[in-house]
Amino acid sequence: MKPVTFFRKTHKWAMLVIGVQAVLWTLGGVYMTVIPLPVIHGNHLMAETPPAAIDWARVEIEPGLVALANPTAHAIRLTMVDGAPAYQVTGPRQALISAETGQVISPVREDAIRRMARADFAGDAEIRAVTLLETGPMPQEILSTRPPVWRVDFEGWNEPTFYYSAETGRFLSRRHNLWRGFDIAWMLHIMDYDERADMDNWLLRIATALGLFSAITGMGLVFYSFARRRRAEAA
Amino acid sequence: MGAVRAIHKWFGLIVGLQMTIWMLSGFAMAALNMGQVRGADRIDGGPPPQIERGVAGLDILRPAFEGAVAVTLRPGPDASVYQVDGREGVALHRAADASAYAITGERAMEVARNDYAGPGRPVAAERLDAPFLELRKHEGPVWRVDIDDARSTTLYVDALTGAVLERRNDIWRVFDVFWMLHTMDYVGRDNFNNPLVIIAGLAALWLALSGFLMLFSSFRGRDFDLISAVRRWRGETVPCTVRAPGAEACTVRLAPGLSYFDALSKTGLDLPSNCGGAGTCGQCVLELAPSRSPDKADLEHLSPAEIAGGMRLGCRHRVRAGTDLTLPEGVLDDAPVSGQVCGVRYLAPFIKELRIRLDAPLGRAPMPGQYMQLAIPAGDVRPDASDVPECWRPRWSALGPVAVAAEGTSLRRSYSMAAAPHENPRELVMNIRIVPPAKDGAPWGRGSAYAFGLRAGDPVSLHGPYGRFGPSEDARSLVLIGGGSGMAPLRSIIRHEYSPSGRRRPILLFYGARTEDDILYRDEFDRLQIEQGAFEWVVALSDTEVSPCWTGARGFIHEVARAELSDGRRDLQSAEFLLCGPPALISASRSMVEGLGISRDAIRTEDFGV
Repeated sequence: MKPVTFFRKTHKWAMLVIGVQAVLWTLGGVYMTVIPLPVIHGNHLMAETPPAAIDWARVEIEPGLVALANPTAHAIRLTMVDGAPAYQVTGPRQALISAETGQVISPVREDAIRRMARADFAGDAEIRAVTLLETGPMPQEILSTRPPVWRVDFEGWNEPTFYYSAETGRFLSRRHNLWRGFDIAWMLHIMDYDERADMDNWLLRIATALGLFSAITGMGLVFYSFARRRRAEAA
Repeated sequence: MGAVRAIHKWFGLIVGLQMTIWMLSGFAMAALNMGQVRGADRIDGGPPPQIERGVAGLDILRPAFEGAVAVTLRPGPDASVYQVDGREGVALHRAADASAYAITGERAMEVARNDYAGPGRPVAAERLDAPFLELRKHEGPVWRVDIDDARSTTLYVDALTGAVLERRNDIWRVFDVFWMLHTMDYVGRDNFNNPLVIIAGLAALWLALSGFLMLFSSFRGRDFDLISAVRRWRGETVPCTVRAPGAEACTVRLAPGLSYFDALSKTGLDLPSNCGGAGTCGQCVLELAPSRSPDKADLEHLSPAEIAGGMRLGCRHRVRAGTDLTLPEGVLDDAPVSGQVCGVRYLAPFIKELRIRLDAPLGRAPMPGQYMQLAIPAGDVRPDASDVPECWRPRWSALGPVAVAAEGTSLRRSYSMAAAPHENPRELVMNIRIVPPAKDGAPWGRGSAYAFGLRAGDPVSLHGPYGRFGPSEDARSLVLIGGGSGMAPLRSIIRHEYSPSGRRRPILLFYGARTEDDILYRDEFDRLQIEQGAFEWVVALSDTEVSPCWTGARGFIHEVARAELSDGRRDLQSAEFLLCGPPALISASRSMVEGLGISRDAIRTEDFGV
């Protein structure tokens, strides 16, 4: 078989197998490159108000006491939560403890989450819904997050969503439609349709190997397509 | 469809190389283990140490950390610490007394020892200021801690908080080069919103979309013709007659279901092409029957006169059995093949068996029944009778004096191959008959005189293989009629038929010779008749004077054959008749066979090479 015939045939058949994926790779690639990454990250959704300083006058509970009561804690963080000083205990057991009274506040109440989200969000879009995700599998877009979680949905074409830990009141993540599109593009890019994060999958390895082969044969075709044309002398 | 193809081609030129680089880097990144790339497989996953008891209380914290945004009590590298997040930055304090706690090189090494779980040990810590290439998403002072494992792991520890920022190693460093190639950010490596990659990506999108559309037009029904694919897989082929200017017509067996372009290519006949069979370059022109309806590509590349004359693009038409096609000049390789005579022996008084060792196997595999052309050089040729065996000398003497064959230019003589093609691809076997002069004193035939005079070691030059003589696929049984050196192609056919690649159809061979001495390969066929029940041969001697002990048939072979065939014992309608020998024998045999009610289609003849 002449090289050009080999390239033609292998390119054609390999692309029959991988062609749709090649289109998805380029489509997703263009999407991911065209939209600036800070936009995808949603930096523009966050209000630029500086965080409040700890109101020491209201702190009554000793940090050592909280540590004593939570021996498995990895960290105990004193900060202002919804306008009041509180300890955020993280580790295997998580909790929000009032620094004023020592009472456990978690799970954080909805009205507190509403106020916090209102303060964190840039702009004045209405809050469309506040939902407590208590158990079970988390939504795809916060798959690795530990429940319970408050989900706060805002109005707008971009459908921004903020997530807060219901245990500690900490801001967890923000999602919006451009991010969701990026996530789909990334899923199609790395061909992990379950977790959208695992690049060590064999489907991707085989598909990229086939894609590489197709591309090389395509380059062979380019070479021959632009070779000097010599019209066969018809007998 | 032309525009889509043009887009695909030009964007392939523009962005094809980057597309290949994307595929290559994508494959490389997918092939690498991400856990190893991130160093995640060497993280000590154990729980951190418990927070110390007896930490500084509010009375100390309140004045010391006034204005802080968050104060976090947690384990540090070698003691529990308060991490204080202020508006201006972050600082650590010893938890016990809120005194300043700096991440020193030793503490950075301790952080590394706690975090790393691999075969190496932290060996050195160096203070650097981020960002730099390996730590480009972080700003501020850091400790670079080197670990002496085989991957050259490096942990970056935040010099303010003691947190592990990144775990780099040689696998990551390789990954990162591919990442750079993928993002086309050759400076920072991480900015995949750069104009270069956006422009290349948009170009690649055109390439991919046009290619995707072409998928719908690039495949034809025959690409999914499973029946033909199975036939090809089983090695089945169909015969076609191939002609070319300046070359003899020959039968070539082509793979069914393929285009002529592909099928001819499989037999070593490459039509010119730049597109490899896509129907776009218009170069693989050949001549088929004008009745073949032209394809769109034919009409695009060929003139109406060419279309009317039967010219077609070889890649647009599928092989049909029995097609007669003409190739353009230069495709049917008429280049001579060289060889050396490696064996000569007398088979009969005037017939020799010549064995030729080829310098290289033939470009197209020959088929049983085909012939080669022997190049006869220019100049005088003297028939050489010096090696005639003693017992046959009287018959040579009867011819009179051996004369010089007339001077002449170079020419070619056709000789059928007498062995089956599979037996030895590097060796040709031919039966050479010397042609005595028609009348006394006339010159001897130059071609046969030259061939007959060849001795072992002589170099020879040949062309071929050519010829269309041979059994068809459909024949259920074969009747072969031959005489003299017309035995050669018949022997090739017979030997092939009973070889592992043959079909073992019943064969009845009628062979005419003048005397017992003139019977070729007598022992071989006698033995074959015993070994193969399907093979039978009948010899008739035409010279009634000699061979007094002969108990077999006498007379002309076609008469003997008529008697044998007309007794009604055989099913002649499913048989095919292959005739080879002197012209008189062929014409007599043909009338005889037709007289038996056999259609002309079932009769094949070869009337040279005698």
